[in-house]
Amino acid sequence: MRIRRNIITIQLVTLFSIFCESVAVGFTVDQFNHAKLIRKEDLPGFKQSKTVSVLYYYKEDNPKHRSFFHEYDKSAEYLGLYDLKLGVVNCKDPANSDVDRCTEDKTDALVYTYSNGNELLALEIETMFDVNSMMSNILQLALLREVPILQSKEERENFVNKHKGTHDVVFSFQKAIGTYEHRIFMEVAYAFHHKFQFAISTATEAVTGLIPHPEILDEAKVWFLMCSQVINKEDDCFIKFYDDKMDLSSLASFMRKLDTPPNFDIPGDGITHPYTPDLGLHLVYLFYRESTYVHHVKCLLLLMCKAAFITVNVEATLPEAVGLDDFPPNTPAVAVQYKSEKNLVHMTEAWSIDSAFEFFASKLHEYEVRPREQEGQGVGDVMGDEVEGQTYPEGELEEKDRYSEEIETEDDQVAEAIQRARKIKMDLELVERLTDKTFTPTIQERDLVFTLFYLPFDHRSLAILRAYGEAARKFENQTDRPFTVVNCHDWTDVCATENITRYPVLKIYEQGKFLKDYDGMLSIEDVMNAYKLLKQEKPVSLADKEEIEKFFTGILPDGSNITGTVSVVALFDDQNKGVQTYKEVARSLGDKFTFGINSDGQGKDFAQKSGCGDLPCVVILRRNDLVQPYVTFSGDLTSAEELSSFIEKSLNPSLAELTPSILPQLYKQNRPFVISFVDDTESSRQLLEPIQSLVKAQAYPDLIFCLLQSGDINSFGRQILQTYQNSTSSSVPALSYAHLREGKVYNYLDKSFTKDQIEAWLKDIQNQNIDDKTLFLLKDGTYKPRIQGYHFLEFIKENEEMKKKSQGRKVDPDVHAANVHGIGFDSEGNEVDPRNQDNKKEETVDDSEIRRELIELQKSRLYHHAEGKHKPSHRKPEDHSDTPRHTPESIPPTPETGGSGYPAPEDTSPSSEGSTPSPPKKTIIHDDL
Amino acid sequence: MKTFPRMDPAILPSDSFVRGVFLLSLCWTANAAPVYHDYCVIGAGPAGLQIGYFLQRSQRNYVIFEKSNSAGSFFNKYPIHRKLISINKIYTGKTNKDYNLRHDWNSLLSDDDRMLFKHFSRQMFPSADVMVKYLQTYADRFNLTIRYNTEISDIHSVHEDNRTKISMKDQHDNQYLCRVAIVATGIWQPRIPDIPGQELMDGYESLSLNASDYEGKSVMILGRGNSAFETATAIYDKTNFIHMVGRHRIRLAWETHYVGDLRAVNNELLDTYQLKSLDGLLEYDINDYKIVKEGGKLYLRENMATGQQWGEYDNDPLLTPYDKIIRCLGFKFDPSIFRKISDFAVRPSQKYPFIDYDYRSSMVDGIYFTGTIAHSLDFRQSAGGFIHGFRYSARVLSKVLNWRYHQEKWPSEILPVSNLSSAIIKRVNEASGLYQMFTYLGDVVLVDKDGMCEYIEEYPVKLIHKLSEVTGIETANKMVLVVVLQYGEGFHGPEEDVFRVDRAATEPEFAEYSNFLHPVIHFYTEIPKEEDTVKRKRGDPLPPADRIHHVLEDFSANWDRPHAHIKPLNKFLQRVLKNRTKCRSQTNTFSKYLASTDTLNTQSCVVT
Repeated sequence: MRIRRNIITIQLVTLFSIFCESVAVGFTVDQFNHAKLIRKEDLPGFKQSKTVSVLYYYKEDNPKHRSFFHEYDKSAEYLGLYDLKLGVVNCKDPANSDVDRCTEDKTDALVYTYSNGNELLALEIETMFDVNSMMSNILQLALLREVPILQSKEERENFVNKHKGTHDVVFSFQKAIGTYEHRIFMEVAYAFHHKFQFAISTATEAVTGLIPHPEILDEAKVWFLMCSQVINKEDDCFIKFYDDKMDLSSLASFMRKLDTPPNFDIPGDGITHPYTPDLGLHLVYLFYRESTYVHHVKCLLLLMCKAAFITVNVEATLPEAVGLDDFPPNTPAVAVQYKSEKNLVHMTEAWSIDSAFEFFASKLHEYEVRPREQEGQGVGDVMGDEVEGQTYPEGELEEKDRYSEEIETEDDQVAEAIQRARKIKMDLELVERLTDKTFTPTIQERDLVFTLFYLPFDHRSLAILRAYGEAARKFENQTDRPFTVVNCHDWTDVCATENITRYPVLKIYEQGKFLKDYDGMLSIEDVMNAYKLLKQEKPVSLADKEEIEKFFTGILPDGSNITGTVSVVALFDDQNKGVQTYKEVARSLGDKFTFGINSDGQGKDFAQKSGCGDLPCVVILRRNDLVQPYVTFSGDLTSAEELSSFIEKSLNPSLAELTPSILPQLYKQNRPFVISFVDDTESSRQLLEPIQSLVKAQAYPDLIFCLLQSGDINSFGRQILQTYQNSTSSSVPALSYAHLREGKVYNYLDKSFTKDQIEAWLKDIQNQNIDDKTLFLLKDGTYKPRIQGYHFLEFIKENEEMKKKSQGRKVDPDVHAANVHGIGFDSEGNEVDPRNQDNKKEETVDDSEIRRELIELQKSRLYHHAEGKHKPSHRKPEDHSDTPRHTPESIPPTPETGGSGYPAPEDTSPSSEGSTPSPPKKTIIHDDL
Repeated sequence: MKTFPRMDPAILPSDSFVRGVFLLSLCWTANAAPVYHDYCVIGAGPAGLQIGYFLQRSQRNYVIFEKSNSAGSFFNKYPIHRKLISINKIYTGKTNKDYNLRHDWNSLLSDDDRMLFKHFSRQMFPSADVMVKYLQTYADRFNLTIRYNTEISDIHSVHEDNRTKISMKDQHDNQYLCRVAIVATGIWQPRIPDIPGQELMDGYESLSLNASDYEGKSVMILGRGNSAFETATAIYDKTNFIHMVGRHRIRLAWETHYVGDLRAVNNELLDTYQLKSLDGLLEYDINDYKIVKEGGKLYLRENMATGQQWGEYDNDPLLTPYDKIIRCLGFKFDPSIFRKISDFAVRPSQKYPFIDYDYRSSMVDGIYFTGTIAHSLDFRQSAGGFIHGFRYSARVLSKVLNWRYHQEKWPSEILPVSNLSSAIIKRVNEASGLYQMFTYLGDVVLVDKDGMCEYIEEYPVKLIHKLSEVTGIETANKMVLVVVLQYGEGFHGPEEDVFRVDRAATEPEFAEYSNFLHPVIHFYTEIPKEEDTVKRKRGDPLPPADRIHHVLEDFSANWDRPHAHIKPLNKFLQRVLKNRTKCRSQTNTFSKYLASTDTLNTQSCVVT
């Protein structure tokens, strides 16, 4: 809901900023108050930060970036408290003109981070649109080691297991990095990471087991896993779920409760217990004598966070010392002191562990259900309390949060790449743009024309268009300019005549006639190769032995290199029917390979060499195939179909490396894959050797042998291997047989990589004679879009409901939300940009009436905020002027606590007993949160 | 927008010549066997010519009957002050021909670029004379078969060989028999209120165009439409004052987004009223009044039974004497051409005949209506009453006829799902039919289990439940998407503030608040049934959808921005279509790393 309101805020602010922009004075670099201006000579030192330092290279005032500037400055202020420095390099300053980043292109859209002199990540300012996103991103970066991101259940479990017996774990699910919730979690993590182990996840999968339906999880959650007490690694940690509000003060207070020792013995640990009333804990007293001390009573610890546990040795202390009138006569005895109450409630039942537990549980329950007035509050206050928790005043139906972080992220990689590249101008100068008038003459007048039909808003079209323009550039110095385009959004009629129904389409016209649709890869080289191939003779005549020999080594009779890695050569002894077929095939596939031909018997020797035996002979030459550089055709030479399909099939190297670009071709063949997962090590070569000889022997024509580089632990090869072996500890080299269409994967396990063994294994699989243990069945899954999108029908229904409910109250929901939340205030209650307002006020005096009206509106309605919701910041610069004195580990003091600060980790002894850290009385870090 | 194969011009003239001679010879033997045509179009106005064009292109046996001696004769006289108010925008900055038709309200559809109105006039609001010339040129250019000077009447149905046919005759009692009659007569009879003294009024159809006739005259004009204001604008500089009387609050076209309401080009009198310069607007229901002449002056007086009359107030504006009372109450259709008038003229106002959404007469099979006479289907909503609207409904009608009488299915494109969003974005950004006939004509996409789509352009969405019956395209077991352009609900009406500050939505997630014309995509898991259509909300042409997507409105009406328009649409399509797509997960394992996931998905996924 918070976010939703912010969005409206942003919207309305945008609305006004349309008007403001003409008035607003531009942004200048000295308007950065908190982000420090870094001179060139100070840069190396700045980057040397032991934690993380952040730099923005300011190039020019860009209205689009103005809100970022202000937010960056504000973040500098807050992050300064964490001793994280945000700086600005003024690229406008001539002194800085030779700073690397200042001369680069995209610098001003990025924020750079450094640590110990190294550059870390460059964060896009598009993802750093407010204080929340900046603080959370930067804190996350600074604490990457302390707060790891765990994206799977296994990772989380490993993490938890690792800390069993030593640390408690605070684990959080976050909808995304950069949200308000993420920010407060990181702030808390910063303060407590020396005490607890923190981790976060943005994957619902990682939450599996913590809540019943992780897949529908749509908001931030925090769990506290008490693992430090777990002695046996097999045991589960007790899990405490954080169910309070997701704001800094609530979460921080939760953490502080956790930070107190789980129990305190009087007088063993001291006389004054640390459970101060402001922690809001119920207290459980166990009175004992040495003789009656009950160890098991510590199971009451399970009530942690609702209560603190005090053991009192009645023999060693006096009631007054504990602040009591008297001790119970018999021990053990249990009593409860409700939070913020003075009196103790003693258990009257006979003592037993169970009864003690029950006693406390029932007391707690009583407390929860009893009317609030007893707390000494009036009814009105209670109501007030409740209202405060709501986002809309009573009676107003709450509108669901429609803003989805996800939809802001692009999940289509092509679209994303296009989006990123949009700032770099496409070079289309040498691409001829055809129109309804020029299209027909152009293809008629020229020998060979490539025409790309595209739509300007289709990202796949744009992807090829850029490459196409670059390809055209390569022909800059030549007379023929074969590359033309038709924009189908401009020339619908031209595209309709050419029957274009999908985009992009690259058509090839030859001699004024349509030749074929280009169906190769949409890359610069492939398109250019196609052109080169089409330009040459099809097939190329090889006059004598010398030319045939050259052809085999990749050189054409004219001395130029053969385009591409695959070519075809046919050797005939006369003009038989096969020659015609071959020429036909050469013409139809002429845009893909070079075809060579000799038909007067001179190729006899070569036929023998390449394995044909005799003429006629068709050989496919694969120059990049180390295993099988020649493949010969043994089928019917009079069937063009058979020959073409053979050529297509023999295209790929016999032992191809599996890449995203080759996969579709191989996948199309619908044959099982035999995948060798390899890296550069010797052991991988030992696997490849037998595989290569298997390939060479051509004994398994129904299988596709391929290899997948899987050395890098993050490579997709490794991830696929881990999926296939259903294990996170898979190691390379490995071998799997994957029948993707059937969803079956057989893993080659626990055997040595010898040719015989592998062959036997393949045979067993083919004969269905295989141990099921090595079989892994791929799940039958549903393809779901990764991003949900907006559900307008629901929104519409919701709105209608709201309208019905709020009949009679004719309040514009947006304006209303704005009133509640305070337009022009961010989530911290700070005015968005007071400078702009000042400017506007001045403008008011001498400018038009409408303008004044708008400002009136802003003042009266938009900049008004509901009472008690937001406190404007009272922070003054001097409040934290002493910040730099603190060591990075310590947390700077809040204004109220002055210098006492928060305990630095070294003050806190690792044991939970004995130490009594003195928690500050106020919420940490920001008083206004 | 498709272009169609051109006919060989060499064949056509001789063909129509032969046909003409043949007809002529038949006429001489009047009262003999009736002349037969598959299609008889009545009226050679813009609508008759437009449907004639499509019939000719389909090489149908057709004839157009025109009572006068030229095409578009209505425009010889009307509008009487000769200024067309349909815009003739010459420049748009774009070359897309279909797109440019969005801003060309006068051209008829054809495959000949020379037949664009901009080649006939360079004025934004051209003279009506240009329209006359244009229509005649159009008829000649395509050699449409028109029988001029032929006044048709006595249209009725006859049963012959188990078939219903339409019979009619001309003024010489020549009989014609037609398989289908298409009435394109327009609405041209002046509406004259049946009140006492109505003969004392001047009618718009017979107004003096001599300005001096209005000098120093006090004038009342009855009517609130464009003809009333056109008249007022033409004479208000001569009169003492003009009082305009109408039944309704003034409806400004820019408030209602309906071009039939008062256009700004005609509304000068609003100024002089609101600035207290003697002219004025009044609201009365003229049917409750009578016109009397007293002392050489005309008065509008109450016409009630005694006892029901309002007491007379001495400040009643109607006590004003007038020199002239002019009625500009618009036109209605002429039902007298039908033998049985009551079959057609069932509406109380008789402005339009009663017809179905496929332009067919509700009562008589074989009779169709096209042009402004069929505007009852989208009256006060869309543009079906005007050339820039009915040129598309005529095209729809031709497709309806092609399937119904010739078993030629509607044209459609087959696309893979992965290309659907580009196809939709392209169409909503260029299609003029969707744009002009917003809300009424929509593109329909049928998606089958194999992830292939069938894209059907410009379908009358109110007939969505009859898609198969109307188009011949199979709809069983297919998901349905309907793409229409719509204004926001509550953004049109005479009392809406269309200039309010929050008139435009700017964020994609609030796209359903879009007020200006914007694409809306309705999704149905199966084709809606007849019973679903009764569930539709008022003002909504379609039955309730299973999912709806609004494409955010755009200031320049370019819905092609990657973030604001395309991505949310993509997500929507993925969600409604691919959510039902089942794949083996191994493709997902790979596809995570694949740039072109679509290739794989379309190969191995099936829609369930």
